[in-house]
Amino acid sequence: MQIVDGIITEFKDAWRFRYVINSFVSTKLKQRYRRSFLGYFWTILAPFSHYAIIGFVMSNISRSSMPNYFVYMFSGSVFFSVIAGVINGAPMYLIANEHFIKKIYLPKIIFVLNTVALEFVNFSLTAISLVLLGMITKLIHFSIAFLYLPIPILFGMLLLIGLGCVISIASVYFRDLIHILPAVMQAAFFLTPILYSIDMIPTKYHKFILMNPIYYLIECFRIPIVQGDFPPLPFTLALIGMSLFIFLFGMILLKKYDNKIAFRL
Amino acid sequence: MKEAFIKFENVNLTYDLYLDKTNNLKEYVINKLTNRRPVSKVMEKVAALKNINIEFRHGDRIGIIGRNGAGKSTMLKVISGIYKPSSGKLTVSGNIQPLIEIGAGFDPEFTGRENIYLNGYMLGFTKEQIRLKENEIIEFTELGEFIDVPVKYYSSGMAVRLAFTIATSIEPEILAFDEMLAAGDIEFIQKAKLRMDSLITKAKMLIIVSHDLGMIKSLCTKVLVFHQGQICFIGTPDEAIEFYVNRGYDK
Repeated sequence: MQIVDGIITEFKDAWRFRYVINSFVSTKLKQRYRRSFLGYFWTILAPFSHYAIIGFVMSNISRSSMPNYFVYMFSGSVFFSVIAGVINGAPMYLIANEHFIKKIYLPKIIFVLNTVALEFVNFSLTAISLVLLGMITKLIHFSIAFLYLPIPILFGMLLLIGLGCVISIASVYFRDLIHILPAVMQAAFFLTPILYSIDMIPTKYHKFILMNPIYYLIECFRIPIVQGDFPPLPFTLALIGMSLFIFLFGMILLKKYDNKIAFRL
Repeated sequence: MKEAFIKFENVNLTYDLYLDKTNNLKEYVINKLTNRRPVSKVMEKVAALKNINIEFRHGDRIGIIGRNGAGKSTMLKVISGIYKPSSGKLTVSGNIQPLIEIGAGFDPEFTGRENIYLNGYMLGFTKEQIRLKENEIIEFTELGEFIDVPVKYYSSGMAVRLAFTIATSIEPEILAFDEMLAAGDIEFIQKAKLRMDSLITKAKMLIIVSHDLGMIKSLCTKVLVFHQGQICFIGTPDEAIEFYVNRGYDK
């Protein structure tokens, strides 16, 4: 119960300091595009060109031609890139903010929320533009199932807040995590059905994919866009269950190490 | 306006000081596998504050003195909420403004104006409250058009001017500060001193950590002497300074 109280206090505190997150996100966004000619257009152009190349290569070399492969690959990759962005950045959340943590009181969750919020705002800009682009080119058709999309986004945020806490705390103790994680995420990209679909791999490996929370996250985001359908209920439940579990685990860890971090940084 | 009040009940603060420098996963795994311990003891418990019992009330002007490492700054950080007590109970009522280091809460990538807001938010203020202060701050710093330039391009004097002005533009009930600054040109130092004086006068409670005994004497009404994480003397500035200068805690 004490831990629950602790988590509630952390979020109450985070709410009190919500303007810090606000100002961080808006300033970072402005900074990112301040001196660039194309401005916000980069949010779409950069991932688009990146995935267009992968999509072009993959659709030409893979034998099974999936219907709507471009949309399938794009929606999965765009969602994966926000996950990878948060996870790869996580080792620095606390370390880079040492000067704040030691000199001013701020709830530590703020440092995680800052980046998760920034990545998701960026992601929303990209996703909305890509969906519009898909609808103009008639690759995507509007469907009532789009209303489901806030669910994977919301639980994706919870999952990433949890993971962000775990990784940023672990990095305070193990400083080399920052070099290890990009390799892990690269592997995760190929181990998650993004470029391929789960039917394309042997059934005996399915159990590994079914244990991967990122799989449900991406699947729940992709099915409404690609097929215009609601994801099956077990997927939604797996997504909610795994996200909540990781979120709570991260929060408990954060509360446990809250008072130790400042002395180890 | 809330009544300013701080109460320490049996407050202790201990932390783990790591003696081995293993802070990466690679070495940790290798050490585990080879069963090798780089040093005999991995960490040590350090007691930074021991059994603190004290009450500060509305109107108190507190000075904290003591040798380096006696726990003075730690005490200030506990009051400000940066460190939490390991045991015991701490009650703080009233809005607190810690001036522990000038420039804490600064992001060098942000412009001066963005930093005014960021800093204000970090101290728990709302957009409207900061907007009211914004012009006054910009005027006082004399930064002119530099206010919209990222802080990393500022000279150190400019950065200090901005940081000082932001930190002192908020009128808290409890003002807690550690060793004040001395940077900027002569004219600014004088301006800064006046501003500081008015802030001190307006504060409902003042807590100063300093080695400057003259300042302690002129500003405080009650002085604590810290030694090895404990309060070993409480008294009037004259008594406390005499105790401290004569190393009363050694006797």
